[in-house]
Amino acid sequence: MFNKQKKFEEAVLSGEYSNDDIEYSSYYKDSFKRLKKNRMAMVCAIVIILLVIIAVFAPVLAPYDPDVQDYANILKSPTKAHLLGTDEYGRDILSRIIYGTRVSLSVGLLAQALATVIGVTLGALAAYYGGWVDTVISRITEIFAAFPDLIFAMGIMFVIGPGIKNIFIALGLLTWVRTARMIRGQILQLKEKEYVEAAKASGATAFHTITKHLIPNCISTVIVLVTLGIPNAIMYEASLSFLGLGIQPPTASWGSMISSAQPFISYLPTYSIFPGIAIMITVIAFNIFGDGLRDALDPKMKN
Amino acid sequence: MSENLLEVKNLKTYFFTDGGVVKSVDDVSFNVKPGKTLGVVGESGCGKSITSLSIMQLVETPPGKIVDGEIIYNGENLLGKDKDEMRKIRGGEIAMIFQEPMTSLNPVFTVGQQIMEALMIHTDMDKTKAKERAIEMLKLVRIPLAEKRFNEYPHQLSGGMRQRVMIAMALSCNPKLLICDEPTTALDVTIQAQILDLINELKEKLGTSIMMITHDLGVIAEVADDVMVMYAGKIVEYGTADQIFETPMHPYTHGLMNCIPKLNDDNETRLHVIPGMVPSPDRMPKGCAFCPRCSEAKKICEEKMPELIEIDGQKVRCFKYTSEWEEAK
Amino acid sequence: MLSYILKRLAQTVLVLFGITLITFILLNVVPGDPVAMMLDKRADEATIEKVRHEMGLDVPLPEQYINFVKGAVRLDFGKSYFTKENVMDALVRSFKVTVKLAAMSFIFACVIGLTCGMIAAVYRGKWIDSLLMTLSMVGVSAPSFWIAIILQIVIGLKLDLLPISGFDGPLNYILPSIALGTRYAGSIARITRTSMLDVIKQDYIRTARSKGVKEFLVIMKHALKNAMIPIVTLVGTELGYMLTGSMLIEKVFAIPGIGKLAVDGMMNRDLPLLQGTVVYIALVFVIVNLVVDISYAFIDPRIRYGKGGE
Repeated sequence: MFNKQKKFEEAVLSGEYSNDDIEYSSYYKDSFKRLKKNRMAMVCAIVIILLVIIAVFAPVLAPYDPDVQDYANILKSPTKAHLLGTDEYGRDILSRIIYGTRVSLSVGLLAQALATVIGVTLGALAAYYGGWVDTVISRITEIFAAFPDLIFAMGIMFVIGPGIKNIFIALGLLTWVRTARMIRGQILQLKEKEYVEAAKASGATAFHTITKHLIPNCISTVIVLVTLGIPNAIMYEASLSFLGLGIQPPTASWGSMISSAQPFISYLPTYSIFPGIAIMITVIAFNIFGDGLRDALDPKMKN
Repeated sequence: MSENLLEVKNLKTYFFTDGGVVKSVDDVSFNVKPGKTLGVVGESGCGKSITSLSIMQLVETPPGKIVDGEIIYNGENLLGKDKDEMRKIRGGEIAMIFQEPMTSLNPVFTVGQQIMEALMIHTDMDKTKAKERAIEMLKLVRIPLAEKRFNEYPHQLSGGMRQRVMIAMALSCNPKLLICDEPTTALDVTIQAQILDLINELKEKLGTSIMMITHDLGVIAEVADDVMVMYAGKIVEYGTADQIFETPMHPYTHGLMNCIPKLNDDNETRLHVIPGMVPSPDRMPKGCAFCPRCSEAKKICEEKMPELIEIDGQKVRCFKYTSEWEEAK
Repeated sequence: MLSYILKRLAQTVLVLFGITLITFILLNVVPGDPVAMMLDKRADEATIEKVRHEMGLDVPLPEQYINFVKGAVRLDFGKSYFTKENVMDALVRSFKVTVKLAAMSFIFACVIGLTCGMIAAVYRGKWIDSLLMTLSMVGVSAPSFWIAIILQIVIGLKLDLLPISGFDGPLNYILPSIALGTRYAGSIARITRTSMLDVIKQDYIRTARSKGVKEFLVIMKHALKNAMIPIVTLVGTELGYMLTGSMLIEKVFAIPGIGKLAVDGMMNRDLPLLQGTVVYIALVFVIVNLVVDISYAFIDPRIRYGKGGE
């Protein structure tokens, strides 16, 4: 990576390199090319694809049923039969981690879907109409943003009860604020552009202007927000489950696995280590890929 | 000591970017004589600023890099100096003022602090002396209420005032060479004249050599002894101010001359512009870089780059003055 | 400045009303009766009524809320339904623990985060930049409770260097502080780098270099002060989070801080305890934000003098 610059310089000076070899292309092609050049981001993209495959084909890939208890094999260290060992009910830890991928990815995705729907709608409405609509929506976002996230999520979980569906709702309600703020800011800028004025002047309805002219221009922002929001949601899910407010047993979730592993840290430390590694890999992959995506879609933001 | 304060020889500064290589300064040679002013003219993007930043060795590396050449100051090659030696030259021997007075001063320090800083680096003054000298400098550049301004922050001053502060700061350590990179471009016309007068006056008073970079031949006419015209990273014409204004040779110089509105023009005359734009630096034409915009271009201009030739002490890069011109179609 | 602070404090009172009202309403719509939860199932009607009366739950809801507000202005949040401890006492007791943990993790996060961020910015594109940014990415991506467990396993159990639970001596706080601070250190490092790189591109940095200022001072004096505003904003929010207690870290290390109080309040439907905690949390954030805003004025003269000049 650091030698690349040097090689480039040498190639120019020796006359091997010419700018005539560069091709020019459209915004998205350019962005994709920039993304492809970012090797870390590409590695993370592959990791994400692998995670999705693991989640989809969990029943095929998992060596054991994740919920089947085997009291003959309780809290075993990793062996050939159980690659990552077994838990306090004799369940296979590897299989539970594989099934946990399903929980984490679907929570991340669905919570972000909900957050995006709420955030884009409210953000677009606030920016488009301005005035009291903007004031009301902005005050609501402020109240939501004022509270410590985890306590807020706990509060919602407490009110609506635990369970995977409620986690989607709680995390969606928690994370839409950022989307709304970004979209509001961007649409405020877009609103000033000529083509939007033109659309309005030619009698387009508000709905038409928002959905056909304004939101499509925020797509890259939304893509980046969703990609960077997923790891956030995954982290919250893990934390809630660790506190016992998230996914309920016996469903396998990485956070609750670490929670149940905690009493056994001296007896079987690997039990608590492996699910954490799974969380970390997933979150890092989405974070780095999201950063890469942002840099590729908006080269001005690149450092 | 040679007769020149600064001799730049075959300087090449390239930028190595994702979009390809940009030859911002490509084989440029020139001299600055003691106590004289060299004017460097050209449109934006022609490599004037990068030339000056190369002398100061302030080119952002990477992506930029001085790949070849010599910068000889007072008989010593600056490119051979280490970081610390170079640091002492910057601000002490060679000072610089920039185009944007609004953003060139640090917003979180007072004007006084910023002038004193340069003094305390390059001289052995203590705080009290540095403060005295700083206020003296503020008075020298004719800032009213210098003592009060000393304690103010840049945002409390107007653009012209800030540029005066920049000049005071640059000259505070008695540099032998002052590089002015478009010092008046961002200012109102009346302020422009004041700043130019001030620079001229201080040059006489302090004997400083000046390298004046601008896109405005009008500014050059006011201050320069020698003139260098740059286009797309190369010198296209180089001579004394008299030569350039009386016998401009390169079609580009002609073009620039015509861009200056003249007082005796009647209202019907439209302002001249050079058609087209400077070619994108990473997409240079094969031949003469000015060829696509040149009204006199022949086929030969598209095919190869003319050399810089000297005619009666005036240098020009154009086929018009070569034997090849007559033969060419 | 004083009128600004007073205005902010007035806003705070409104926010506090809003938050406590929401908490009050939420807890009353959630099914389940705190009195029934407290008492045995065998308790007869009369006993329940008696306890209700003692707890002030036999009056209409609006009156209950007004009674709460009357107490709250005297810093009296009543007694915990569950432990019968005075809520204010419980808050003070937990705060003493939380503030120690917060102070240590805050120092840890700031020192590590700022140093790494600045080094990465100065050596941008070099191997050390990549290394530090990878580490900070790991820091922000690993769950804090998991880092806590890893620290317990490696440093507490395998190496036997530090205690893995308890909250008596300063040694007890080292592992929790690192576990809590790592994530914040990572994000401070990242924002420091970004902000510094932003500032290093500015014209006045070039001016400083053209004056012959030493590169070290260009970074530490000219760049850092200008880069501080986004950093201070983040650091302030993080201090707020630390002072309101980390339920996760407190759970792993069995530390009875504010986080535990919040969890207990919620789990036991202990309205007085929960209200007390909520008011405390809101106050912490208001104060932290106020301090952050005031610090802007110290950092940037343009804020101090209003948007004067041009």
